[in-house]
Amino acid sequence: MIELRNVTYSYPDSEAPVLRDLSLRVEEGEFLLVIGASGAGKSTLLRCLNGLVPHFYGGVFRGEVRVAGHDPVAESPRGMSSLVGFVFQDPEAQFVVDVVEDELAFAMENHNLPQSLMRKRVEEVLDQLDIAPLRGRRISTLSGGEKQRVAIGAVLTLQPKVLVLDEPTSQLDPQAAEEVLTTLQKLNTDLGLTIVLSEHRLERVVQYADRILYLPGGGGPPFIGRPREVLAQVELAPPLARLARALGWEPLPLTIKEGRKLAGRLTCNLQPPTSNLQLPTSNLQPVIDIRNLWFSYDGCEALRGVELTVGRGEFVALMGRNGSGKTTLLKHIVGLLHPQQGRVELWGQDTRRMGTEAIVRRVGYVPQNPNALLFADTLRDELDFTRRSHGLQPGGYDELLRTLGMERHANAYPRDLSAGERQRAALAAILVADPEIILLDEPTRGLDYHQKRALADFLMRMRDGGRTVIIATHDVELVARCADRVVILGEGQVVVDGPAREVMTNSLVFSSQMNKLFRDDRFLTVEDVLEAVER
Amino acid sequence: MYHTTTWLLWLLAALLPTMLTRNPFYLIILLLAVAVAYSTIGRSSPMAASWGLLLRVGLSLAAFSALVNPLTVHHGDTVLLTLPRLSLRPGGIILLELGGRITLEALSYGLVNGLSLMAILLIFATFNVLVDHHQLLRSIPAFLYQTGVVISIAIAFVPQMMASLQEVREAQTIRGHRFRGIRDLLPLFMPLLTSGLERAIQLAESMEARGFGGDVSHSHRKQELAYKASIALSLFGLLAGMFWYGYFPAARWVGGSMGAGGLLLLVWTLRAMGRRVGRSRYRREMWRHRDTLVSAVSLLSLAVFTLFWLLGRRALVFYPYPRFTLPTFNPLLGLASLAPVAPVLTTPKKGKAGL
Amino acid sequence: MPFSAWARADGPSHVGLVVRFGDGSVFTKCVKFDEDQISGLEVLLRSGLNVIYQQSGTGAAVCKIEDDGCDYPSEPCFCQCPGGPTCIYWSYWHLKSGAWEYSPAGASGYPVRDGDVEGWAWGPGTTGSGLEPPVIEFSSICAPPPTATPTHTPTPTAAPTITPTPLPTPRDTPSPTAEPTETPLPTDTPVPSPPAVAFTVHPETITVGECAELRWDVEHAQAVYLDGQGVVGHQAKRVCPEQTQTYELLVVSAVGELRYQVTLNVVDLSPTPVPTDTPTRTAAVQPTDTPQPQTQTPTPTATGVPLTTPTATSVPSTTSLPTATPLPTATRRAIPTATPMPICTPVPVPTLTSLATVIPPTSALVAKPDIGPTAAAAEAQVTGPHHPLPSAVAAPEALGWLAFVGLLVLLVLIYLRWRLGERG
Repeated sequence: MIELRNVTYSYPDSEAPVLRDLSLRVEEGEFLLVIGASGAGKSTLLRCLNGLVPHFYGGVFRGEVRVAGHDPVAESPRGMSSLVGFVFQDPEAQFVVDVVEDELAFAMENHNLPQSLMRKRVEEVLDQLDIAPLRGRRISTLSGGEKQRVAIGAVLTLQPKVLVLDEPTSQLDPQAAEEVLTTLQKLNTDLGLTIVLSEHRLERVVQYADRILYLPGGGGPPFIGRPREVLAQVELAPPLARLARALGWEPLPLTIKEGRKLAGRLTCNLQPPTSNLQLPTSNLQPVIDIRNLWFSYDGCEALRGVELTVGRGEFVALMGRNGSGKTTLLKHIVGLLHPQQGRVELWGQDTRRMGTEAIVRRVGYVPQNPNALLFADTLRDELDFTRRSHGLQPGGYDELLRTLGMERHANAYPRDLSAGERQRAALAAILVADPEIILLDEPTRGLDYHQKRALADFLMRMRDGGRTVIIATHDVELVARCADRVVILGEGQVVVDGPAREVMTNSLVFSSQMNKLFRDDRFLTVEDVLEAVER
Repeated sequence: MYHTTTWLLWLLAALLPTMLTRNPFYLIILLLAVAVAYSTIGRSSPMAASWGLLLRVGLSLAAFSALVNPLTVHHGDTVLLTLPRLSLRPGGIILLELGGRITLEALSYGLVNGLSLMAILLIFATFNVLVDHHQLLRSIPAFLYQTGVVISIAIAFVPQMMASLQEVREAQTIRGHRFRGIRDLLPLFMPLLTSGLERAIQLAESMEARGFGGDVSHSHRKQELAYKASIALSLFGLLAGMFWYGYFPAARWVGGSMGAGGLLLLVWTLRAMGRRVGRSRYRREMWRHRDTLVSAVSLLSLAVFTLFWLLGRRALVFYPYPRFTLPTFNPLLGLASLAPVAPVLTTPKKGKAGL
Repeated sequence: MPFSAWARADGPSHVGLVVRFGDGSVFTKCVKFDEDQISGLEVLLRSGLNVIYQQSGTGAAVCKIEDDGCDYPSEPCFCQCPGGPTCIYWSYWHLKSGAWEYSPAGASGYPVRDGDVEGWAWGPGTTGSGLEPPVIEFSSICAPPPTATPTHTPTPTAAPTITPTPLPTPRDTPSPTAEPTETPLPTDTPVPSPPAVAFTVHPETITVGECAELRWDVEHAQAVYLDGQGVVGHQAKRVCPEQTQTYELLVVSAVGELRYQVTLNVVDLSPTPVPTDTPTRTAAVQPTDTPQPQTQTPTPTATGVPLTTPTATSVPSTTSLPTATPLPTATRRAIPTATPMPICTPVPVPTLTSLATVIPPTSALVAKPDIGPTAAAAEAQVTGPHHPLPSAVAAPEALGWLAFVGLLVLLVLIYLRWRLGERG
């Protein structure tokens, strides 16, 4: 179905080729998962399949590609559109019209299909993807998962032979990601549609893949094989695979179910580890004190009587469904919003009385969307800008850049960086003022495992340096790695507030893979387990 | 709920009286009919918020007109009161003569002018609320389909931009940035601009991946040239015809036929160009019984007003000068002005299937 | 229509001119011309009015007629049109099938032909609409000539056809009571062109201290004397008497001597309603609205009744006033109708809802004041037939109101029905 032969490609302004002499063969009906570090060329490879590379991006293309017998380079993306359906990462930027039904028909209109055929196909796709109740809805009112399913439907109406998806769940929360991935799996098994998917969140999807392609980037040879083979060898693997590798489990478990058996054999031999639990934070002086916070906007109540106290040096993870009020709470802490009822106190002072400047000088908030921050010509300028805005001397942030691993991008245009690098650039731009409280809103969107680990280490170092860190996130593994305390919000209220281990072990949804595997509050991360095993 | 064509006819039927008459009776009935149409079937639409805004704008315009006219025009027989006069005569031009005789005629003329303006605004506001924009854009003729798509995207982009603006403002505030002057707006607009551009590029990718734009069949140079020449010629004919019509009233028929010929040629050329576009249009609207009814009512109203305009224009005229007299009221025209309320009568109530 | 007969006749062409000034007064004139067609501007210029116009590449625009308008070039031509919502200017109309049509072209570009009626009105308006002059049919302005008038010499412009040379003898003997011996026309075989006379005062009633304008237009006469003073044939004179004054115009012509009188009433500021308060009311009414009574019946105060006794007791509201006068007036009456250029008062056009009293033909209105058309007359009429008017017009009006209210109620019902249906 798909064949690549010695494909070498470099973008217009760069000398080093992104894809080097790549050859690949994908069978019909296969579910191929493409993994690799950020910037390794996954997106580029995917775009070769329908001709966006090189037609849309330019650059130098060498080699041959055949998809269902057609050459994407010869036929432009338009020609390939009926063969290859492409779904992009950002659910916001894929829609031409605001009505679901019309969006589904858009692709067919471009191909001049007759009205009766269009109607038939629209009905089919609505059923296939189970989005029939969304038919007349306005796309702007849909949730992230629904949007991505509509995006899949929009390309499915042309009945392509191959479905290519470029990190479709990276901007989605876990539930939505689940929806999308199960949909893909259904399409693959029920319709035999060839699927090529690039993903960072491997734990959810490895069990569906027929094969995994690993792109190491930086010139290393790509590696393709069955999931178990690949995961046994690559660095970027979900915790379960890493544990299995470390413990030498065979065959490599891909799901919790598979791992249970192997884990069961292990547990009896494990000694309880030395207590590495942090003591409760009641003896730490509170820096953030929230009492009976009520806030509503647009007619809906975002926060209902939230009570929270955070001590100095604590690492708190805020978790909860989309819309449970995490972002709103963070905005209250940084002073962007003021409570309609109740109080928010920072270092004993009411935020309503402190000026915004005073607050942001000591509280750093990294928003969800790093693109909202970056505007300067170089990274250095960005950091200087923040320092100047706070009334500080520009410069003096080389240490910070090095810690974040961004020193080689110091003079790069921030928006040219990849998603993960942009996230870190935004982080640098906020941290350069050296705030005492650091708030992060969904910092791990679009980051691969390496980057997440680096971020977690960095944050833990911040915490160790006496700063208070609060992150609002869906990423359970990150929380498992570095958080001391977990606060779960539901419908604007605090549902659970306690030490990370306790909370996560007792939760079904908010627990890490290790947790699910062992059901033991001693084991949140792979390191915990390995440590216990060593003893 | 209704077909786009039905709404277009509705719009025409509502607008025609505002163009043809200044008789306040018909305008009042028209206005109220449109308001009833909005407040019954328009409320549930997401665009409903804009209606209130336009209503307020219309009211202020009407009030303004009702005030300005009697203050500046002093004709009329019925003097209501006499204010001290304030004259502005820069260089001999009587720019403004405020005060003086405030006449009932001038007041009523101003009021009726304002009423007319408000009616037009409200008609458009209600049309905006009731019509489905995407289907409306699909009605754009084929050769202009790119415009339709662009407008469609813009409609979605604007609220996104607004949300982005809020995001950016917050982000820059928490960096310590304070917005003091114009120069401080750069950190606000740059991210917005670049975000918008990036989103646009992503959308372009998505559209291209779905086959957008590759539908115009390649035609010869000659054919392209022929189309261009045809359009130029038709426009020339149209303009020349209009010019001739106005300047040589003796030989009107020459001007008229030139203009008509130019118009026909233009339409024919545009249709031919449209046929070249290999793009179909997805229509999810059905023509129902109630569409027929409402369209019939609209057409009837149009016919009544046109007939009166051609044959009995006096019935439509309201000119208070020189002496104020109440306008006449022809029940037939009043009924025709009631046409915009037709959709309310044919829309089924909740839970019923309806026509 | 008589004018169609005219059009076929050899000889000069005639066009009626109606000018409505800002104060409501109306001027009408029958303009004669020899050419096949002339421009509307020419008609205006040949009417004898003072016209200021601006000539430009695209044609001419009329800036000022008599006192209304802008003094171009010291002022811009449309000085009362600064660009805002209000614009006061000279609108240009053509009478078509009994109704005024806004002119599609400018005055210098519009070809006027025999039998047309031109209209000008000073008032507020915009492109395409404006104040209309009162509707006066061609036949009222230019009455058809008698069949055998070979001696009609076309007088193209308002140039006086007589020389103001006073004859000594007639001056000294103004004989108020002497009846000029007039031979009725038919007895003379070579019919001398009888003089056309229009003698008016405007306004007809003034208060002490105010002034009025005496105006006369005389054609085909040999000598004209005003109160014994020799004057030119076409002139306007400002008079400011302290008390009620009667002016006499003596016209000497081939057919004899004719005398005309007008009386100017001067009143103190007494509580009696003075008709001059409403001099702006034109005789013609805007169509479809309640008709203004358009009677031309002369009131005792302002008519230039040809001599004999100033008919102070003449009946106000009857329209057939002149029939009460003796023969000389009858013959005298006949004379002006024979001329092609009498100046008469406007005749109202029956409107859709009009139940106005229909006025007799202009033949009865020889020397009626033309400017400020019988405002006093109208005033008298206001109180007169105006009373029956409301009731007669009220009937269709009431129906209209009923229908209006009914439709409003219908709207409310529809709305309520919907609201209740929603809840239910």
